[in-house]
Amino acid sequence: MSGICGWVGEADPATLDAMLNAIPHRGDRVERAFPPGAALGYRSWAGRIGHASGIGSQGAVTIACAGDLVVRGDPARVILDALDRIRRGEPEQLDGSFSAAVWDADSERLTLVSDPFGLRSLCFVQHRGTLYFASECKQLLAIPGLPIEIDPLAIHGYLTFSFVAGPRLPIRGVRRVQPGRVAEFRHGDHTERGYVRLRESIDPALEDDAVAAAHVDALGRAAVRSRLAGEPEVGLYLSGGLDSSTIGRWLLDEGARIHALSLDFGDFGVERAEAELAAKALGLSLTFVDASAASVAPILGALAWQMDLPLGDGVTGPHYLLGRAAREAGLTCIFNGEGGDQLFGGWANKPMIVAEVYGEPVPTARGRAEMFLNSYHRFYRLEHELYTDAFAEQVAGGGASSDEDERATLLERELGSPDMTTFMGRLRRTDIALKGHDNINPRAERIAGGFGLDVRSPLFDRVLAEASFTFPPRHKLAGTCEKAVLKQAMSGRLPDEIVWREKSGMCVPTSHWVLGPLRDIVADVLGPDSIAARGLFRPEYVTSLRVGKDQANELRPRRIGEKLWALLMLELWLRSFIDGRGRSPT
Amino acid sequence: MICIRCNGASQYQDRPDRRCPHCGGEVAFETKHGDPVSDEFFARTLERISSDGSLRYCPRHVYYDLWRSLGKAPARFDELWARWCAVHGTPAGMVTPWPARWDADAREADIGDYSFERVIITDSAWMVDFLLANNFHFETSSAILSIDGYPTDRFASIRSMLHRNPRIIVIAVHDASHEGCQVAQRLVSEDGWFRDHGHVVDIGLLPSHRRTYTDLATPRETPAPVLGTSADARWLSKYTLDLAVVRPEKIMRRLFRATRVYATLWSQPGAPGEVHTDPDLLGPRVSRHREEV
Repeated sequence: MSGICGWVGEADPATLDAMLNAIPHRGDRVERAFPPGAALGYRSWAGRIGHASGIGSQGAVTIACAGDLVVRGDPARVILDALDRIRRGEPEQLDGSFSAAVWDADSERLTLVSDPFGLRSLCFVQHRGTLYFASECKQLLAIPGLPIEIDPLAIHGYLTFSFVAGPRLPIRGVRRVQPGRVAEFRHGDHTERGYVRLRESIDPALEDDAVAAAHVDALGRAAVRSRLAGEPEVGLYLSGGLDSSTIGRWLLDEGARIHALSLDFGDFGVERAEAELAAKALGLSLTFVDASAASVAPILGALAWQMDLPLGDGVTGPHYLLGRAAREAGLTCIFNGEGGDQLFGGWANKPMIVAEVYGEPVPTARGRAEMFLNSYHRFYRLEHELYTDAFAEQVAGGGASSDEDERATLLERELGSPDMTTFMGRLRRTDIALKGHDNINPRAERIAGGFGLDVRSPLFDRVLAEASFTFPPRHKLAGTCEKAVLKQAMSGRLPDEIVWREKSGMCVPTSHWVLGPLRDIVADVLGPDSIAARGLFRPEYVTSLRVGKDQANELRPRRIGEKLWALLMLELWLRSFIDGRGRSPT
Repeated sequence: MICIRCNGASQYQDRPDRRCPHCGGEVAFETKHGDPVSDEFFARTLERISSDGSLRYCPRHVYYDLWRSLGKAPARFDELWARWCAVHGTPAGMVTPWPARWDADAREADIGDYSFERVIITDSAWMVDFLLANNFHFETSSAILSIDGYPTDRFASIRSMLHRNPRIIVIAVHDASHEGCQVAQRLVSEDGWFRDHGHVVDIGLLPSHRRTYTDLATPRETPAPVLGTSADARWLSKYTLDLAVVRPEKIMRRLFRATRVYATLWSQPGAPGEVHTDPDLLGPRVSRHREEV
């Protein structure tokens, strides 16, 4: 919940209301401030428990802050102190789910800061000499006269990753402050610096299994504790997997009252029994939320709008249903187990390990990056099949030749980081920076925020994440045993079936949906006329996907379903944001 | 003849220099000169064997597909293949040997601490190359090795990693031959493999598969010892059924299926040292539904 917006420069004050009105789901009260040279707006729900953020001022400095910090105290003061420390190169402890804008009228400097792992976003755009910023893109699209067209390179990235990666957003000219970074704008200059540094430094004391497990337990509990603000009841998305069950355990350890929600995929469910088992072991009442194709069908347009950016993972539909159920249950905040794979070494590392042993004689960050790009299983290296000549030209014109491929560069920077010493460290850092920052966290926040919920992801805690790089890699992946240290920590505290079960992953039956019960919707949204009118893709290739066929050694319907879902969400997003200027489809 | 370059039709007498009279392109095969197929026929075979360009394949796959089409082993196949490549270029879909060089010391030391969900072990280098070229390893997080040490430079590193997963699923896939049918037993009895850990599944080819891939077996040059008294044992001493008789798409689909059936949650693994034989996986058609869940 809550959101901010504003600008530096000249604009009609009514534009601030337009930007605030674009996010009605983020609250029922607004604040506005018009310090010299700038405007700042804030929207939030009245009566929420916790540290009130909002708009504050201190001398010539005005700050607008959305979200929650885990450090206690007045959010404005905490952020201003931290920014001072960051400028001086001193350590600080900024963490939580927040974004903030600080305008210093004396030095005419705007500072934008986003939380460490990308739960809260902050996007910005220059228009007619004025710099606008906002929590959501749809707020920027409310700026009168702002030209709206796609950014081909951002779309190109989306079609590789299934999410928009890095600072470039799919609306031309719109950028975002990347997680864990501070952006400063002054007299036309734009500088950025990171304040979160994930650095691998293995602690010999953590070689001992019991010491390592106790350390994870203590840090995890602290991460949960710092995210509890005294709510009478909190929500928990309980999948029945290790990560969400662990959060449930720690929440109980901290005395929280929990309302657990889980998804019911009907015949396609693989974790229902585990969710029931976990709930029983933790003594929680569990609400199952129907996640059938019939439930997903009517929400697709609203989902694409609510997510604000195209996010093409099949879990988004079910997450939307969970968020809606949480709101209907009267909850205001929701905990999840997101981040377990990124912090502690999940299944996604396994194909990269295989790729490594069959890869280049001497590894390079570039070679590893190109392999990593394959692991997203969308349209990487299928561009010739999918893109029209016109779109391919737009992409190439934007600088997507193989030497300067932004997609590979994003990965290369993480994989080749001098701060990493182990292969596992490199993979995890990359997974945090791409999938964590740009997919898991924004989608969790946007979907929950759309229902007025605060999302709490304790595994993406800064202290815990930094500490995860001090554990020997065998505590993450022990042979093929994933998240070994987390399993050790939960052994005896959760049922063995939950702790030691081989992970099946959340098996959203995306392919069954798009090739089965949702095929009429898919045919409507991705039919030849619609695809031709959009002009980005070759209708014949999309048609072949719709009948369950693909190119390039792809024999499995699962991959075809994932691709179709990604195209479906993109087209719905384009309709809402490019054709509809960010207006809600409802 | 229809030219595969320009689609122009011509009669034999119109191309005395083995060139298409319309586009001047060279023709690889002339049936009038005793070649068993035309260029057009050969091109269609390549398309079929690659599932319309979606899969990589080895020349031996082409050989058996021609055999199926012609009803007999294509004579002088190596010469036909060489001529095709000389005239039309090596087909883009042809599997090439996997890059050999690999430097274990050039990477982070922790790599050797990890393992794989499963490993595919073959009796031939070409099958390793085929699976790697089709990205099977990456798609299924599987190691792929031949029992005799291929791919050479990587072999020792990868094999030692197999021991880091005590419950590794081992899928043996091989020719129905005297040597091939010993692969699974060798894996549970020889040093360095799976005497004390893992679960070995032998999916064949087995002698019984000669009934699925009829008339494609080759007589051995020298008979092998008869191991046992069964008809299968007697057959094995005299014949070989090459794994390449299984079309690329079928072997890929069936191996994907094997990774699902024999996953870590496999409910009935045998004890270490035992081999579970599955004669059905490479057998006749299984239902589409079962195959593609």
